[in-house]
Amino acid sequence: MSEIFYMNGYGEYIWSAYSFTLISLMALFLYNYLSLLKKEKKLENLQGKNEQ
Amino acid sequence: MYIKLPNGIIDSLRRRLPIFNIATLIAFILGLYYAILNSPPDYLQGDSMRIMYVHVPAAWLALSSYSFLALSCIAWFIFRNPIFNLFAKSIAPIGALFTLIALVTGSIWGKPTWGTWWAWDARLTSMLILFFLYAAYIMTWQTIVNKDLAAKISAALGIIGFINIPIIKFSVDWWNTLHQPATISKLSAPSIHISMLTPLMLMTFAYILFLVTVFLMRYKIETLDQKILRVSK
Repeated sequence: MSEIFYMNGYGEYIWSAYSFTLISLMALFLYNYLSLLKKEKKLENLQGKNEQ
Repeated sequence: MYIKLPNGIIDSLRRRLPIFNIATLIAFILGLYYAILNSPPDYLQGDSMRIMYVHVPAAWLALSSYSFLALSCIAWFIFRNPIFNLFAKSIAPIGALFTLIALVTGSIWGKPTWGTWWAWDARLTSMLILFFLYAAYIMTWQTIVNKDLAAKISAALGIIGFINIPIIKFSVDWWNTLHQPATISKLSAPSIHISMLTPLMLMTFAYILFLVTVFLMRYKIETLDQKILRVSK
């Protein structure tokens, strides 16, 4: 198991590259996912108001 | 001239967003399994070349995304159909992030391999310019209040930046650069062993799925914005 972390001395480079990639991809996904939910709710509220 | 657009296709894809989410996740898990655990180290670069599995797909898609953005801008100039602006606006942040990932992971790989984090070499510099082009495109929409003007300026910017794409692609052949030339080419058999091609292709597939998923989400956000604007008027 420790071999996977060590990666023949390249561990710190490999793991920092992979974590940067995955964290930034996840951040972009979540940011857009949350703003999509927010916009949907906003539109619903506006349409509800117009009907009243 | 007004052309009929494949709105139906985009809508039906959008309704399948949960499927895309799950498919993206599975593709990444599979790709990472091969990239980290089930592929051999390179005979020259050792384990550090595992960084290529996240670096190369990001760089490929950064260029493809920009081409898509520039073609959308050209289409907007010809047809003046706002949907092309939505296409370009939806893909821009994804392409920008892919460019950033290519730059950062390339830099992390460069330190143990070339002995430096950064060099002002043709490939690296042209990729940095690509990042600034994406940033400029996004900022044009955010800073210019008059949306008609923003559409014109951003589209012009997107088209001018298109010049950079062949420069990036051929920079490794035209100039003496630190960056190695392409391993995978359409015209010849790839000079890479199947054990390394498998994780590379799986990761590329995962990145493409990610791109499509986020693109569909962003496209939906853009159309919701327009609806909100119409309703609140």
